Amino acid sequence: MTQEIPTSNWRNWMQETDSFFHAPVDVRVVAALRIGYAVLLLINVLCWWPDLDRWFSESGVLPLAASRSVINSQCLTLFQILPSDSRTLHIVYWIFVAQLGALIVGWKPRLQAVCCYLWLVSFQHRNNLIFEGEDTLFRIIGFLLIFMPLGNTWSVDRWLHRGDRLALPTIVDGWSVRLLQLEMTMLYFSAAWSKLLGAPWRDGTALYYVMRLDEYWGRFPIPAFVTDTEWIVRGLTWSTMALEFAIPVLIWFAPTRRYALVLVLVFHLACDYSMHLFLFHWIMLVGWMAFLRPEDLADLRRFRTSR
Amino acid sequence: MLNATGLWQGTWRLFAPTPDRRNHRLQAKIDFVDGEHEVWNSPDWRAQTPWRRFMRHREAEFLEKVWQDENTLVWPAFAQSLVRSEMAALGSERRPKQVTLTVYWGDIPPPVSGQWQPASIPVSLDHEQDFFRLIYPDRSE
Repeated sequence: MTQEIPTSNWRNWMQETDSFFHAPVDVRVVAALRIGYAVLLLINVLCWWPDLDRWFSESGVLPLAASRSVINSQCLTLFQILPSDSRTLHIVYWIFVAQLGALIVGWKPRLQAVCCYLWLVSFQHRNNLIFEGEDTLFRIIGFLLIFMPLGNTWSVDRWLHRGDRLALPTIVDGWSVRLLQLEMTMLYFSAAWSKLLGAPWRDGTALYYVMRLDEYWGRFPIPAFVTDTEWIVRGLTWSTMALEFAIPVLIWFAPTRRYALVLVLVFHLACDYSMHLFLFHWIMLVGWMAFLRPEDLADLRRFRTSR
Repeated sequence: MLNATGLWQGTWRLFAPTPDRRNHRLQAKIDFVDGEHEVWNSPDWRAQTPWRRFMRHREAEFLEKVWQDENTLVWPAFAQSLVRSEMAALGSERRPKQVTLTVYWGDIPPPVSGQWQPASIPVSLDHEQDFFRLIYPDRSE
């Protein structure tokens, strides 16, 4: 009898874990992730176009041999085996763009997701000096998308199967969405923990420095009293750190989930207004969309129709 | 395996534990065989419109990293690409003799209570250092 209790507890724990990781998810959430991600990556990739040869060709700032000297040699890129001429580069680039278009409309989306991931990794490993943290998140989300049922709704694939209601279910096992939720949570927590280890974050002066960095600060006008008033800057610094600790907790509980999502939205939009961080805040918002639920979509639709 | 497949992600720091405290600009001085020279300057990011800054994000990222010591092996290719693009812009047939890459930087002054430097005043870039010189082979004979 005494031996059955741990066995039973273990079984319960396994069942709980299993139901946590395999909780059902509405395919509309997955479709929103697919479209949001692919649109952002398309914008990202199109911004390479004016300088495509400069960044990725042998006549640019970083020939392949030089690029291999500044990246971990294990980082693979298809450009190691493709011809090194500019024509091949341009062909590959436009295939990538076309596949992103196909991913947006949901035509054979899993195939597109696999190919887009390969292209993205290959371009990033070809010249890692022009990429940064947000591009890592593009890679991670892109990888997880491969395992999601991407074409079950809001897609060409769904339209092609419109006569067969059973072919593409609307509620599916959401393990890969759960992994994305965990990724976003750990990302925020990691950022908050790193801040806690830094004296400028603890004494409230970190944003004083950020607000004076030419490269990042001042995307749109901000009143001087915000950047130059000591108690406001300290308050913003501590609020940022508190928010990054609070969100990963609040997002997991039903009563606070929506408040957490609204906080995330306001935080990232405010940061995007004030700072030059390209698409970082937008890809973060796409990642947080993994926490959306069908009732959120229904409420959003009701809100829109009531207006 | 994680590196090879692009799944390595390191730690997420986001201006932590210590935000950057330095603004910098790069400059390249191209000396030609005929004694003339041209100067290339990296963009002043404060002077860019939001749209222009958005479109040049990759350039900003590159220029932030390229001069750092761990990227010394990239400097010759970087210097040569600057010469090529300057000569293409000038439509010049002149032969380059050497290129000197210089970094100018200024440290953001620490916040002294009651005397914070206004964010609208640019940090003075009062330090400079030549970090690379590429000398082209003499083909005069």
